[in-house]
Amino acid sequence: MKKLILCSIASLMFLISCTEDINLNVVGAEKKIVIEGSIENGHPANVIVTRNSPLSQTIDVNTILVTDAKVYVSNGVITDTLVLSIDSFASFPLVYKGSLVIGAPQQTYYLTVIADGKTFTSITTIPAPVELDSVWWQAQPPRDSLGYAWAHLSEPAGYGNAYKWFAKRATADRRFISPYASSFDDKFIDGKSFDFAYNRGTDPNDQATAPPEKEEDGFFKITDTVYIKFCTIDYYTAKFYTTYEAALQTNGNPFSSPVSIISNINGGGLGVWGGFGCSYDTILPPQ
Amino acid sequence: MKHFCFRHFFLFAVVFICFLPDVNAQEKTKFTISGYVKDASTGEYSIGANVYIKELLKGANSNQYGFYSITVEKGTYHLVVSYLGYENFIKEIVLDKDIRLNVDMRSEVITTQEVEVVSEKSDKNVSSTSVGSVKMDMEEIKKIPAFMGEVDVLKTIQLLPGVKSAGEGNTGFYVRGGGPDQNLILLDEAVVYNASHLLGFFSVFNGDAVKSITLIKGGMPAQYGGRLASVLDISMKEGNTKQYHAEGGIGVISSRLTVQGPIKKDTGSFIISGRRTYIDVLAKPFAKPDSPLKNSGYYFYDLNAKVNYRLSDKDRIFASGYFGRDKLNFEDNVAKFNLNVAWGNSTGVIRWNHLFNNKLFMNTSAIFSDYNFSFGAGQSGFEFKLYSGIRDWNAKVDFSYFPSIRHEIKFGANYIFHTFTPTSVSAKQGDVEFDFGKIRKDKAHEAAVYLSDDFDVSDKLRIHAGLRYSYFVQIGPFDRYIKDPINGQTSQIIHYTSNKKVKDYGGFEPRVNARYQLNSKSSVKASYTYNLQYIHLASLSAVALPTDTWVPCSQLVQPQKGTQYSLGYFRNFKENTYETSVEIYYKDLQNQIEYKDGSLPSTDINDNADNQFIFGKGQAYGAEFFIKKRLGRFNGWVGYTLSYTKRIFPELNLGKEFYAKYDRRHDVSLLGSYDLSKKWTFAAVWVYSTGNAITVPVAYYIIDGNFVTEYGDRNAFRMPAYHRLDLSATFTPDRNKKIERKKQRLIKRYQEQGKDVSTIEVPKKWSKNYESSWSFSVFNVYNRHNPYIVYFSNEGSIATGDYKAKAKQVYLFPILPSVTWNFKF
Repeated sequence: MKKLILCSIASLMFLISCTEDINLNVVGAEKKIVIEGSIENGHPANVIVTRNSPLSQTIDVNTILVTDAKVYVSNGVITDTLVLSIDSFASFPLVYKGSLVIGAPQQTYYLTVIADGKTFTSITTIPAPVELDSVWWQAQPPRDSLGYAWAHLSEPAGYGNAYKWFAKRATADRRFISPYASSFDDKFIDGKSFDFAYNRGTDPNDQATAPPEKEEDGFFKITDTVYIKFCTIDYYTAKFYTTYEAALQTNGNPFSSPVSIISNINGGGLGVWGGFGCSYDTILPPQ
Repeated sequence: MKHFCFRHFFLFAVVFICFLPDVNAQEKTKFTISGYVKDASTGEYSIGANVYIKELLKGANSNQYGFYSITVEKGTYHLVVSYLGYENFIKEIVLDKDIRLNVDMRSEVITTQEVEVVSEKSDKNVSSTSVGSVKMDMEEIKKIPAFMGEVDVLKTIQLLPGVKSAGEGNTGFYVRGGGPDQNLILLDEAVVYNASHLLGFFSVFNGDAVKSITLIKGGMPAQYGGRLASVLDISMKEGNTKQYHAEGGIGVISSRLTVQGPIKKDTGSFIISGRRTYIDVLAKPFAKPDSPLKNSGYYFYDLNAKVNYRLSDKDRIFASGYFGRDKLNFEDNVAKFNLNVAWGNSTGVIRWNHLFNNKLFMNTSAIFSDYNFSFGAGQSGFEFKLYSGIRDWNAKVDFSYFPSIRHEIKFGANYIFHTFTPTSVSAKQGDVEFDFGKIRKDKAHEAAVYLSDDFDVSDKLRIHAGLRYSYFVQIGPFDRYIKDPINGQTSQIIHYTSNKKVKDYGGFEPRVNARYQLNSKSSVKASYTYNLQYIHLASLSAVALPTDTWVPCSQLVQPQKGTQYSLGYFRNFKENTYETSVEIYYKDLQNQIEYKDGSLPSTDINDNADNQFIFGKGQAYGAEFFIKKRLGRFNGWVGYTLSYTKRIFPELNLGKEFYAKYDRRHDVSLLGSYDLSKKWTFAAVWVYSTGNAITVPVAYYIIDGNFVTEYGDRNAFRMPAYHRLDLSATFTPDRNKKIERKKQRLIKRYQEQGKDVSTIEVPKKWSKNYESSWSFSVFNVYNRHNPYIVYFSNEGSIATGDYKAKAKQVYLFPILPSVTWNFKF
């Protein structure tokens, strides 16, 4: 919330400010492995392994790709060796995919990644899914054909729950996309029953090749069929995603301290290994 | 410990006061001359006037209320009183009994035409024991080029060595490596918690209402406490006791008006001063009817008021207050979005001066200080409000005792009741109210007693020794949220009932300043100061903003501790026309706070803010060089500071030492003003400082298809250097010449009409005491694009193989000319 305050003060400053390019020689980046792994109830694990890229250089896809990693996921009984696959629907097209270990609520999963001669480990748990009571589309004034996705949540009593929201337009999106601030915990909403809304997130990969029309940016159309994926996540996964989203927001925001993304990967890696307890809903266009 | 100290202090004070007449009686061969030093034309008391016995070359300075007292052996002497900008007062006195002598100082400007001025320039900077202390008068400050024509106290002190600005758009200032919360800013003794309007572009101190400014950046005397870095002590004008006056100015973005005059001639007076910006009013006519700007705007205003009344020769009362607000509102009727932000200070002070006898002066004050910040926003049925602030009720008593010409003893006590509102939030969506917890009010008592003596050990060595004992206790009602170290969730809430002690701290704070006079022109000074500070300013932002919240010491947060050593060489040249000094300092800071890495703004709601803090220490050291020309048609100064400011936090930057964001390797300021004639005064300021230390990203990585940044070492990178030149010219029309021209025209008309010119009657209004001036200024003359912030944006795409980060800087002000018309009558 304070971000909103900072942004409003920032807007005051930017009324009187100008921006220009400067040359800065930034050095000092250490090569690191980045892991983005998830396991969802009813599905095997997906793990993307990449490297970071120094800010001072143009990003070269060949240097950030890691195609020779060894990736293992275990539920404590079975160990699944993940296989590198091409997945054009994923956020990154090369994904290590599992098949033997299938996610189940309230189970703990262990990740091991061996890459660039180092071993990285992590643990996550899939919390019990919490279903939304209802979902609907609502116009955002003054528009009448563009709006947000709304939902009603009856949050279970007892602190400690955390959630992540995804949405996907049936025909326009390749995958489920999270808008900004899609991760939240129950610190302020514990045991409450309330309505909430999200704007439409954008897929950075789609954005790079085909920028959306400005008018529709951030909105769902009245004619859209929208799939909602609402997931429970554990404390460390929530910590990662809330700091990740804050980092996205503060990149370039003068009023914020740099936000370090809190990783749950052990061994010096970056990224996350998260368990997702998901439920699904659909918003249909009015008949 | 608390009861022991306070009981003994008051016992000491009572004994001290009761036995003073006896002490006098024993010293039959010594007599006292005492009184008040005042401005002859306005009746305002002169603070820090140099009062001395010419034959002994010893004396004292008038205190904050203009009072002085000198006790010497029976004899005939010449008493000399000097004060910058005034004719020296010299009077022969036969001291065979105690004498009360109130001195009226006459302005040099008024008297130079008729009276020969005996010019004996002050050597105070060489002879006093104060180290790192600067006193400035508003007349001096008014000559300096002002941003958009607004004379600014804070901007001026930032031109002094050792005092740094955080840059444009930042509130607060930094003294010798201390944070902005470590400056004690006092307006007529009331603490001002946020001294800036418009994010630091203007200070809350209206130049027309301010009499004098004293900045103490090292060797803090014992009567001041509660902060580690500096004291900025600002005294408001008391009001003219002789006649009514109004003065003001009309500028490009703001105007101001001050009215002052006697309540009863030579007995009591008042002053009231107001100021408001009108950017919002000026912008609205240019906004389109459907534009959000039509119903939006920003402005600030402030109001100063003060009255004083002399009840008797020994008693005087003062009441003063300040109220100021910054307001930003935004209303988009199309998107149904509204936002209101407001912040500001309020202060109120009632003081009673009492003279027990000609050696013992007392001031008792009851003080109220308040700073609050509020934010409200709403859209589509969602309403959000946030509030934070700090409020103090303060009572203090200060005694000044002048037993002999060799001693000036001060002692007193101070009590503050703090109420902190760290961050309170309410929000609702429709009828559903979200749980942001109840509005928290953290409460604490803070108290201190002190004793100091400024005394001559020998003719060359003078010592200022002080001891302060301070005590702080946080009390209930208070909820302590105990966190589970494994999952970070609240595992237990401990409730403290009203007035129950939560945690207390206390300690002695010794200070010593020593001056060794090498000769009449030069001296060496050294100081040692140990301070405790029981409140902290917590900031999640990279820059200081009004959103920063004050938090008390608690079970987790220890008092800030600061130890400063400084050593200086002071030398004056050409009969004190030039003052020069070199000072070096080393400062050790303990129990500094920062938010944990990855802390987010919401994390101090339904929680204790201090659960998000980490603790570390710091050190600062540097050298300050200063050359000032005090007198003459051309005056000004050159200041240079070489400094290092470092912090070390075990949980930050992998435990490695890092530079504080306001670390400046080099800081230069050049300031000059030249009185070309009675009509024209020109002034220039040039500043240079090493760029802010910032944390920058060093690498990218991909998460969920987005490139996010990985940051390098904390504050390991430097923004480009800051430098700027400002110029100003002040034109003051010669009123006498104007009247003369009018008179000549009248004579000519009489002659043309064949009338007798000897019968001409000059209209009375011509000779009325009316002055006006035009102030022209140019800010940032060579249009330097000084970086406000530096950030990185991404360009290109991975698909095309040219995805790269590009550094960009935001700068705020290009070259900005302004004009202000000032008037006085």
